[in-house]
Amino acid sequence: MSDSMSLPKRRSAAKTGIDRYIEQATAGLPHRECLDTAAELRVHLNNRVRELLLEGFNQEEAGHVAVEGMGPVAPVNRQLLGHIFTPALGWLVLAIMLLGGFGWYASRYLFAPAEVIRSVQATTEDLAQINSVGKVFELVLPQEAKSIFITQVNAYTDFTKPTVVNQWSGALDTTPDAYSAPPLPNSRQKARVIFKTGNDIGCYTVASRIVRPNGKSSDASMADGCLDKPSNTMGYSVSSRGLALPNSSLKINTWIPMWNITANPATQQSDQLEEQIRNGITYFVYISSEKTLGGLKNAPPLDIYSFFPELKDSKFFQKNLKGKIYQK
Amino acid sequence: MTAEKDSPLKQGTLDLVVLSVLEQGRLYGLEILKEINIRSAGAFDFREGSLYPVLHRMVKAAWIDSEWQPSTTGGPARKYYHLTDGGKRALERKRLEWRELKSALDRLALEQLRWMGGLIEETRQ
Repeated sequence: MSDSMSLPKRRSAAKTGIDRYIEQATAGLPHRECLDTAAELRVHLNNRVRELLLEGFNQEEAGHVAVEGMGPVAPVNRQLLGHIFTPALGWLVLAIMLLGGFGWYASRYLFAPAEVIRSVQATTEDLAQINSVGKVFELVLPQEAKSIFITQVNAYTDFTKPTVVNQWSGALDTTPDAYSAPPLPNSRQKARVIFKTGNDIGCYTVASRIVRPNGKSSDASMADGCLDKPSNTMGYSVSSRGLALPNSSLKINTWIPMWNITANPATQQSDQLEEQIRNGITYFVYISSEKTLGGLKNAPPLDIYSFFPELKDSKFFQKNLKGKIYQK
Repeated sequence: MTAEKDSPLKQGTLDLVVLSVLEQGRLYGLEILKEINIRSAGAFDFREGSLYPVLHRMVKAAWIDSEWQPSTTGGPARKYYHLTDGGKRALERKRLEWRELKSALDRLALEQLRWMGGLIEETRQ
């Protein structure tokens, strides 16, 4: 112990020690409780300091010893709070949660790729899937998309009955009439659609790969488009037209023309198909947010007309798509 | 004092100790500590800061109540604690629990002592 008068400048340090202890012990308490507890602790520490001064300690030493006698402040603070979330830990958890939340929001909304349908270069892998030459479109789907449907309609006649409607979802189902794939995950997905071109251009085969958020694609599977064996069925050559709306935005719940083929009348072999041949066949992509067929693996076949009532409207595609389909 | 300060065993009996001391009357924090220290002959010389969370918890449990009063010896006002009726009942319960625990421990300890005594006796023979 030294003479208290010999260390006048360091007295404030002892005071600071008491203040610091009180501040840390009461951190995070509700205001009223904080004041009450701080006052109580200050009375306790000041009493201790007074006793220690009488025992011969100087002010600084007394303050130090009094604070030391209180023991570690962190457990006192935890117990006063009644939980482990001390202010420091609470702020840390809050910061992590905010950062995580912002990161999630940013990746999902701010920096998510734009919803678009665009023509892309076919890769050797793409072409290997259809074993032919083809045209590839990449679809960056809207966030809300749960499933993708592709159907074949003719927009220039009353023939609007879709030949086939396929659903592409998280797991591609290669059966044209199987509407049983689970819904797309709730994040922006990419899909690739390949249209077969070349000599058997009338044949169309669509492959779709859902690119998962980690960048890895699911197993690429082949899916027949509108007809199982169109080359056998149609038996004529056709010319094709590309994307009607290149690099266009993909709107949710909106039919968008993707690909158009027109038969060559000179090679037509079937009266039955005459009208279609003359007027062309068009494919559309439909994206739905609310509509999903997930979980219907063992359910009875879907009534596609109740699912998409507009398919019953013979004028729907004429009204909505005529004039768009053939512009290139 | 031989045991470590704030050992789990002592922490477990702290409620009983504090309630027992407050049974004597109104006391403020430092007085409670001193009273505990005197009556336990220093055995409960725990960290002073750990008393206040215990007191605040007991207030919330309505075992004790508190009020700021002017100091009887001069100086600043102090926060005095006293037992409530609920606290008296809690004290009785804890005393009963302690007696049961103590007698069980005593039985175990005595059994051990008898066994050791018998062993010593056998060795002598």
